Amino acid sequence: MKPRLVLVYCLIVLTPLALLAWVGSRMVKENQRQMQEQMERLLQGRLSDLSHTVQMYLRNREKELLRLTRLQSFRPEAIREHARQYGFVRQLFVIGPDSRLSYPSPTGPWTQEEEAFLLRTRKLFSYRVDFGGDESTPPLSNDEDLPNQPPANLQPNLSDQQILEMEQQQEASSQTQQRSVQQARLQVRQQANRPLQQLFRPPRKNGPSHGWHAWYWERGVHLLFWRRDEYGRVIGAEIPRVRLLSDLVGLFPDTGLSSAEGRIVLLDANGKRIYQWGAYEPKRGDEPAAMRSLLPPLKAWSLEYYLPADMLKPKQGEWMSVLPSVLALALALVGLAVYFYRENNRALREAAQRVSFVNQVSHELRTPLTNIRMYAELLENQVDEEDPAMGKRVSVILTETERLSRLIGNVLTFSRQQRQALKLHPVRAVPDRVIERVTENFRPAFVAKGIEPKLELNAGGEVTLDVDALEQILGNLLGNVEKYAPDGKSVTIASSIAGDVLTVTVQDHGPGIPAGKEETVFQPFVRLSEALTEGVAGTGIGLSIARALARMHGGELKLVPSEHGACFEITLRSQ
Amino acid sequence: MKTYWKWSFACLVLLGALAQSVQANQLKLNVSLGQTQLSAGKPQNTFLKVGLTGFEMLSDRDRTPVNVALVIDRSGSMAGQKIAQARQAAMLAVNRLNKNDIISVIAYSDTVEVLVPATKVSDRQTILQAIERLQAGGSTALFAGVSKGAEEIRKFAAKDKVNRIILLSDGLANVGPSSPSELGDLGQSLGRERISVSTMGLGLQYNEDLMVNLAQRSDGNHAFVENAKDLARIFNFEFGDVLSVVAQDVTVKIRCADGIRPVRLLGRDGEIAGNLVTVPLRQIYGKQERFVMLEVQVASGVAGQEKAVADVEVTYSNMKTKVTDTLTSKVNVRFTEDIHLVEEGENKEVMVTAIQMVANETNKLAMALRSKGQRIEARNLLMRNSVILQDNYKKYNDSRLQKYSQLNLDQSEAVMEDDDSAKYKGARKQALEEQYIQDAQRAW
Repeated sequence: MKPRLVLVYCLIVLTPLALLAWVGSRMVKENQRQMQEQMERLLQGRLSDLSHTVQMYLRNREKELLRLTRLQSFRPEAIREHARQYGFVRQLFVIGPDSRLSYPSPTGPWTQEEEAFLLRTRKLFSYRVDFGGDESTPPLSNDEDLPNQPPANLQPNLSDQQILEMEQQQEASSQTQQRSVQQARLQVRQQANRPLQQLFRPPRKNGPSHGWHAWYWERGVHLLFWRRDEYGRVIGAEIPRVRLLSDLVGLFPDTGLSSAEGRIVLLDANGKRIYQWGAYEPKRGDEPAAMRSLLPPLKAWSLEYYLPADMLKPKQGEWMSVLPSVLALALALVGLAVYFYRENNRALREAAQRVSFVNQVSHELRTPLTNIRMYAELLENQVDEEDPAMGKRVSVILTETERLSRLIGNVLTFSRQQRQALKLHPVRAVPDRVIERVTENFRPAFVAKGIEPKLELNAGGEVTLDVDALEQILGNLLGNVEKYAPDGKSVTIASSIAGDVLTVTVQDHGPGIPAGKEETVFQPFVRLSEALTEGVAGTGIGLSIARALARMHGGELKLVPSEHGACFEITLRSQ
Repeated sequence: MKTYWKWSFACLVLLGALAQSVQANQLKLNVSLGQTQLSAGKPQNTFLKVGLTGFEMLSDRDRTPVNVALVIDRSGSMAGQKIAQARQAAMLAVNRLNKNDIISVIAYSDTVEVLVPATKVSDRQTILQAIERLQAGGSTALFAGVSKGAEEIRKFAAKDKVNRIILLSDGLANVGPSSPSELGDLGQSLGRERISVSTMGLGLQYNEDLMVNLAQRSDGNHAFVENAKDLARIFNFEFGDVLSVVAQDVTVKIRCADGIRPVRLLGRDGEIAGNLVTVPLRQIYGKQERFVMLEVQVASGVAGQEKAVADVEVTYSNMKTKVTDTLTSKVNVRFTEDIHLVEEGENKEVMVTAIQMVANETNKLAMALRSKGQRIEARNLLMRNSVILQDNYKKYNDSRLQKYSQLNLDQSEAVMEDDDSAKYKGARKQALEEQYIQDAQRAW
């Protein structure tokens, strides 16, 4: 099988496969990307739901706190009594219309809890806290911009370091707390005596009348709820941070047996885990598949969603879905290729058979032909000079057998050429003698058509050449002259030897080869226009064979421009 | 005439019986001073004790329905005998409840699982089966466990129920908020909501400050269970209390008279504002007595003068009669120049209790010093405490003082041990339990 054919078949099979594989992989990737996006959306959706649960909870608390902050009496005793049974509030506070803290009173007397509250909120109330002022949007008033340094014109009486120490001491046992409380009492009293700035801006006309205030203290977010009443008082409630956390934990799901895969973690402002649920335990270094902060006022807290790695990675199975179709196509294409190959082979085989048949037939024809020729020649010798009619008949027999012989020779040569079985058989011979012989063979035909051969032979030397080849070439050329250029009435054959190149030219005076057809005449089965060939027998392979033979001989057969008629030039290289 | 006497006698008997029966459905308020006679001419401190004693609710039918959440640590360290005992104890608890009660069971390790959501104890089998499934492994999200417990309680929380979280833990909380003060704040917050948290520390590794704070501020019980085998017994005691609550939302208000200044409350959280002292006592169990001990400073008085010390008002929800009762009482003090009268006027019971409570405060301070690493200061303080108690024992001849003195002495040795020694760890847990018992008057 020819390598080019193999290449073509390979291309036929592989190209569509490659195309399909490429398209398939693109689709799979796109699919995976979409699935990833969907997964992310799903996760974010879940987190968003959780976030909204928190908001609902805060909204409910807000309602409760709105009720709670409606004080019947502003006496400290009454306020203490009022908040006592409410676990969600650590301490109530009241800021008067003059924007000064009125409960717990900055001048005392305080309970232990109230003192602790004042100490805690010292920083908070030292700065401009905006309850419902310009910057706040319900329900969150921003506080992240709380400066760490006190403004220049506010001089605390105790250094921050001392305050910090005291705050830290608050965490110790009750005995030490007693001591620090006494210190705190002193400090807060001192603070109360120093002139306070205008702490709170007057409320906006249409500003919010209640809301939440997220406040950073001890590296954690604490919540205050505040409500401004119609007299411009602000009644607030401090929410114990740990209670808020606890309620959120209660709100969120537990990890039951039917828990979905993955884990969700609630983190505080410092990234510390407050609560987590879900069966999956994230390993060190695992990144969350989705993250979301809670909504204000708790936006410092966030949720993280962890999934096991194999849920996130695209399944290898995706690729498996492409494979069957690729395989199917591959199979189909290979099948197709095989089919075409077999068909091609069959066609080739049939052609070969036909050629071989023709070959056989031709061979079979040759032997009887040789006999007929032989006896015809013998007959010619015995022909009486007084019987020109007999001579003429024999002449015709000879011419026709000659023609038949040429024809068969052409077919056989053509067949060999097709099978690439053409071979040269070089012998020592004199070209001119060959030319003369051939011309002699054509004598009866020429005579019949009135063509006069003119010989200008200059190749008398002995060279090594395939005599049969030269004979066949010449024979085809002269045959063409006889068929197509009889009107020229003459044909000139010239020969010469230059080095190892034998050149023979055959010039006729016929109609010549039309312009543009100089090369096509040499193609097999090509016969020029019907007008020319009408009524003329021929197979159209003569010139192509002649050329092939010439070329085999290291030479060439070509058409040489001439004034009138056609001039063919044969060049043969001595072997 | 005889008939008249018979009738009056009958009436009296009837009245008496009536009075008795009325009283048997109310708390008994007993306000007393450490010293009924004070030396004239100088200001001095004394102790005011407001004692409340419950009554018995006899039948199981009568008792207040209970809403209980069992929060059980199932971290890795609980594996083995501990978790098995915890299961047992929990199942025992379930069996003591009746169909009017509500139970939920929550297990926590790094995550929380609600094994039994709040449900009536009508289908005992299902609940027991769920408890059987309890297995150990993981870290300790104590905060989350308690929070989930609170959530389950809230589903059925009501004024006419006893709402209780019972927390069992053997280890250090390491997921979520875990400082004693935070958990204490949570305890206070839950306590106000009428949910108390009883904490049981199992073994030597738990954080006793955390567990005591949580219990104390929410008015639950605290117990140090050194050996898992004792769990069932402790659970029984706890349930004994829970099932015998006769009064809730107990609030004691002490209004001090002129010239009387409240100095400090011993052993309890309370609110001192001016001359008004408000103390939430929350729950009274069965016939036990719980009290508020207030140290007051009495201004100098004149011999022969009788001075009002304080007006006491106690309000509470009566679990038997389902009403809010109010009890009031007053207490006065006399001034004299006679030292003997002063001595005779001493209320031994109050004084002994007060001395114990003062010693308790000193004990707390000593333990705090030791926590900071100040071993020698702690030891000295404990030894001094022991001596003072011993002296007072000689004076009052009350064996409780001697026992406590010995305890302080033992502790003074234990604090010299290393932080991670079993002796110190055990001693500290025991010390904190003891402090708690003193403060809260745990009955068992």
